[in-house]
Amino acid sequence: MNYWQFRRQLYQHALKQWLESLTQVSTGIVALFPMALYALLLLPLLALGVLADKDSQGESFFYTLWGYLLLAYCWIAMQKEALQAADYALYDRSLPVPVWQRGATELGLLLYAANVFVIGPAAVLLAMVYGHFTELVSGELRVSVTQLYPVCGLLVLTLYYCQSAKGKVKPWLSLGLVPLIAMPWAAWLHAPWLCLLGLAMAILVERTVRLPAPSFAGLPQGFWRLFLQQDIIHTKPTLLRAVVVLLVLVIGATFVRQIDISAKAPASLLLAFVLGVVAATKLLELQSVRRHYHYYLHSLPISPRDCTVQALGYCLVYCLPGLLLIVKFGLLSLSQWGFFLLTYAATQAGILLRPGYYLIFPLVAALMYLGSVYLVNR
Amino acid sequence: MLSFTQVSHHFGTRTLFRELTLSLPESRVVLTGANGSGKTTLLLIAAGILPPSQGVVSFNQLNVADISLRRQIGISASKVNLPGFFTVTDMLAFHGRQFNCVPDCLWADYRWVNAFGLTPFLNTRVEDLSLGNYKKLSLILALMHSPELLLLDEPTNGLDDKTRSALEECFETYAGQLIIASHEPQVFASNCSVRHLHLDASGVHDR
Repeated sequence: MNYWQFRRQLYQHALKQWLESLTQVSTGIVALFPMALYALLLLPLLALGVLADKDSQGESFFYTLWGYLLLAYCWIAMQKEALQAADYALYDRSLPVPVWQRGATELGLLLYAANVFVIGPAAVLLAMVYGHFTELVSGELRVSVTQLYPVCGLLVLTLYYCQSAKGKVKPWLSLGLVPLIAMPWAAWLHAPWLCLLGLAMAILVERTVRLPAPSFAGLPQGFWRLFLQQDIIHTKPTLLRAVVVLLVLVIGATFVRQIDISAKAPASLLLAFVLGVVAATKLLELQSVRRHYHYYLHSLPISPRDCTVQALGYCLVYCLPGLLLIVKFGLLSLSQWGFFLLTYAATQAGILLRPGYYLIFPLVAALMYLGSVYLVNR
Repeated sequence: MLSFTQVSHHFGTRTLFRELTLSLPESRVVLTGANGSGKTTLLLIAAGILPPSQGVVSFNQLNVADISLRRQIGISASKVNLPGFFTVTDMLAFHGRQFNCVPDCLWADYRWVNAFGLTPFLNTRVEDLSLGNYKKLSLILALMHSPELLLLDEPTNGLDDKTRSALEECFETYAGQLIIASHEPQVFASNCSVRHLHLDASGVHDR
């Protein structure tokens, strides 16, 4: 077994363990999207159609680019430990592998892990270069650059985010604050180059201005502290949940704004349902924490009922930033907010009463809601 | 007094105890037995944190499953998994708050933290503690609320000499009932009124 095979095996082993733990921790999301992983691979391919087109509308380019880069970053960030063979780092470092071989292996693994996110734009770029070959060699450089810059920019940014996902610099500005703040002006972005330039500037800033380390002083005490600190230290499930909410919103914003007005209401209801389930399934995570520390928590002078009440309260507060984000996207009307809350409550009731079949509860609630709406409108 | 009435417990098809009836009025009890004989399970059942398949366990005539009894029971066992993401200080503060026993002093000056030499590790995450330091923390959590019943699983495992001495001193002066599961039957070397119990496949026997 050579070094590449060794590292690939460590990567695949860590990934397998991670997927198993993900299934346990974030069961809600995994159960909600049984085919999501396959669909996830199709998303970048679909997004490429928008991103590689220089004539794309600024708004659709903005949302698609944000979603694509966010997904690429999180895709790698979630595999970070597996890519770095973190569990076996000491042993790996003890191996007499030349620096160049280690570097090449790590680059190979990164491309292997990022696969469709990097290969997609690279293949499109190659195809476009091939298609514009005559213009390139004949000296009509301006025309070629105009055609190629969106996909070139995408490829460079994707490579950057994939690489930075392995490091310590978080894209809090370029994939967080800047797109969120720029959302109201998304329609005014008349060309893709504005988005690319804005992102490049934000990257420069976030690489120089570092976020302060999280401080635990002043955090609430008691049971909430247990849940909160677990979330702060083990960020992956929260990251996954946040990404799913953001992606649903980003894709939803693109989708809902472009479809016919008669189809808007059902599409928004679907969004409300998905978001309600994703938000409510935080409770599954908390139940999993309670199961993990079962004996210790049982040894405390607090009844399981009180513990459940605390978990429900924590879950609600945890979802507040997500709710604010949904408000900011402005995709739901008042009645759809009501449907969102119904889905949220029904999902949590399902998790508490029948954890194995909890999805039945929001589905039944949704059918009852749609039935009552139909009867009222008839 | 801790008593077991008709307690049975199974793990899958394996039976660990069958209709165990036992009264333990002695203030010091040592449980011995081979690996896997059920010593830890018996302690977990006695603490009320693992419900037996059948039967009742009571302490001073109260069912140990009753939440109100938690304040009277302290347990330290490797199976009692502590939140690894807490620092030692966070863990102590959390536990102290739950049992209303947060000391007036700083954690660095706290009696058990000092006695067990855990002060240098107050800012270390629980999951990063060594086996011995994890054991010390677990013991402190069990002792913190001065329980009337203290259940300790292999308490001396991985401890250095200084901590062993501190622990032996604690055993000698401890006012409540103390039940220890250990491979070292001489854990209460200087105390003569100790009841020795041995666990094997046929049940629990006096030794």
